[in-house]
Amino acid sequence: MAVSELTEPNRTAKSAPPVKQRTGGRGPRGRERWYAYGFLSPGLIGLTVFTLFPVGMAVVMSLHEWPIFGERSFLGIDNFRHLLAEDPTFLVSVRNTFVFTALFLPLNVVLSLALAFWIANCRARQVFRVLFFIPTITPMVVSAVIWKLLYQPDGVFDHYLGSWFGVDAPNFLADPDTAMFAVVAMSVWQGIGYNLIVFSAAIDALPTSVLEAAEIDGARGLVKFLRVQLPLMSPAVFFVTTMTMITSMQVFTQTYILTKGGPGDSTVTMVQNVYENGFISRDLGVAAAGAWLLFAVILLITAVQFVGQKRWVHYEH
Amino acid sequence: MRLRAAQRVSIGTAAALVALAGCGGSSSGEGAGGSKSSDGSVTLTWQMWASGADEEKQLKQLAALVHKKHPNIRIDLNTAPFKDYFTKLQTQAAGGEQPCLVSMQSLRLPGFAELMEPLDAHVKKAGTEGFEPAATEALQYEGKTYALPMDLAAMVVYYNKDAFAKAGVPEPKAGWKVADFEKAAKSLTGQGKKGFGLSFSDLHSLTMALTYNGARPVTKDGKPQLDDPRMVEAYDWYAGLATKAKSASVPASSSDGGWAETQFVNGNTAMAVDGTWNLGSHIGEAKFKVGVAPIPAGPDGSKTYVANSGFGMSKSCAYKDEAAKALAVLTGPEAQQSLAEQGRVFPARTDAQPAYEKFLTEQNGSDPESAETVELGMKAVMDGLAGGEPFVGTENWDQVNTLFSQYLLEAYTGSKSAKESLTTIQQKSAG
Repeated sequence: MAVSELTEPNRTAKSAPPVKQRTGGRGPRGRERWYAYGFLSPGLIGLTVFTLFPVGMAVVMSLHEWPIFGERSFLGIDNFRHLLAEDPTFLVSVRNTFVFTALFLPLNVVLSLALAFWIANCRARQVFRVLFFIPTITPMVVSAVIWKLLYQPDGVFDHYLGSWFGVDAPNFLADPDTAMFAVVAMSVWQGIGYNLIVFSAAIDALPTSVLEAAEIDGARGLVKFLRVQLPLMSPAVFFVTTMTMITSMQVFTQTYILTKGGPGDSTVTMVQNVYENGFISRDLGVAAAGAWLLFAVILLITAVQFVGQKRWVHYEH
Repeated sequence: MRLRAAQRVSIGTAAALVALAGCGGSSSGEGAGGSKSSDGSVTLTWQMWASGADEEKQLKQLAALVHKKHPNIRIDLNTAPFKDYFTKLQTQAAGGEQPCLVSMQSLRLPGFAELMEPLDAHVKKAGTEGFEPAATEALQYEGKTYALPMDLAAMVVYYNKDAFAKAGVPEPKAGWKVADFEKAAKSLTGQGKKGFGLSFSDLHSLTMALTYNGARPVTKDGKPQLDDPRMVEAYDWYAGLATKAKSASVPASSSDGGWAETQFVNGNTAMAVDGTWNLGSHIGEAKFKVGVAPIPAGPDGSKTYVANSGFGMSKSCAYKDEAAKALAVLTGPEAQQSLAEQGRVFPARTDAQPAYEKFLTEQNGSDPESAETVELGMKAVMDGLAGGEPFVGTENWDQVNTLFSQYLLEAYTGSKSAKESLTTIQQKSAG
């Protein structure tokens, strides 16, 4: 704070004269417009080339029979009908994705919120924040491979369940009853750090005056948390739930590395279904249609969240 | 001045991005898969898998051989790791950018034949001679030759000599039977170790099914018949090695495609079925003495699939005559000798085979035991090749493989029966 206060006046004083010198000719407005175009064009062109064009292509592809090689032909909505009515694999992948989200989202939000509060009062809280953030900045592939070693028979979990409790651990990733839970557990471990940081920032920003007033009024413990702190943090909670929901609907890396969708189809997710339709079955049309359906689902849920937030998110302190 | 600079930057950026967007279309002076320069010399692109600088160097030597023999032909070598190679080839094909010279694996040929030029019209009969017959046969599809062979591989049983000695179990020999295999697996199980490791990889598990009762996953005309009664019977037995006999280790997840081999090399299982292409690496990596035996004999004797890789040309290649010349050199005696000497492959040309054996013997030290392993290994390969049949998959074999990894695992853990698993795989791969 002190530093910025000192430098602030200096900066404006130094930079002011050149600005004046440059004005002239067609006036600052015209020049500024050119600057604006200059600065905008990379982003705008990038957006067009790398986002708008592929999105448009995906629409076109989803309406075609589009094999990776071979003849393409127009199909209309047949790809969508195939996925929704004829292809049981797709519907299973939708179910699995919802199951994953239903487990992952609440676990992640509740645990990261609890952890954030727990370490907020701790003297070494910065150390803990860094520790919990490490999984988030570790590449997902690396984490997944390590967790696979933990889960496998004779792995760490199996070993300690056996030697401490005398229990035979299930073959976590090969058993259809445990595979999804194993994936969720790994994902929560991996994803908790980011949300923890967001919540920690929100906790640090809680207005002390309001908290003190609440305490004077007798708010303690759970009541203080539910009635005062949580409502004050509601924008952060909303941000976290929305973003976490979106990423969990797009889950792919963990399941692909830990279980490759198996055993059976118990952990095939929507993105894996898109990937397999595109690059294993080589049907880019069906893959694009699947991607659009995933987009539609995410858009719908996000819209519901945005409409719902008006009732519980408070943006003013 | 400053204004101009800003404008220039923005226009330049825009131009660069537009140029980037235009990437993918080949410019007018180039033909598909290569290019011709003004002096008439042709550069052909060659796509091949390689891992590490050594393998890349070996391939560059082959490319140099082509240029030496045909000074007007240059080879532009592009490599990708094996696991990404076929995805890359697909993606290139989708963009209309296939290389002229395509490396192909026999297993995947049915799925890629559409992209490739039949070689029968381009390569004279003499060009296909001197190879093991099984090697050329494996690279044919629907009666046409699509690639000239680089190597040849059969499946064998690798076993842990130390574990056999410790358990007092006689080592497998040529002529051993499925019953002997089962007994050995049982005797070698205990103290956290298993006698054998199950696999859901195609060649590894299907070879055992083939030898067990002659089960075949694909009909003669290339249709999947994964729920064929013989297949069900064979996989009932194979899964039973883990579920009933409790003498085999089960992959930890559907993503563990190499489970059986890694567990063997780590010493956790005493036997594994694997390809002869790993002869060198298994002997080198394992911390115990590795033995090699043929696949145990079922009612019709010891059976194995053979598989291999080779080089062909893409249908879209604009310089097919030059490509044919290049292929003849890439699979010629000199190239084969060079690859065999460096231990890269078990060569498809019979003349180059002694060089490979020499490499293996030298690599594994001069002690008589290793030399014996190498010798037995080579013999197992030869036996396998004599009795082996080329494996021909379906057009959607990649998909079948994915289904294998997902659904066979359920049979191996016992949560589904082999019949249920294979029926599901059949339904999904035929639908």
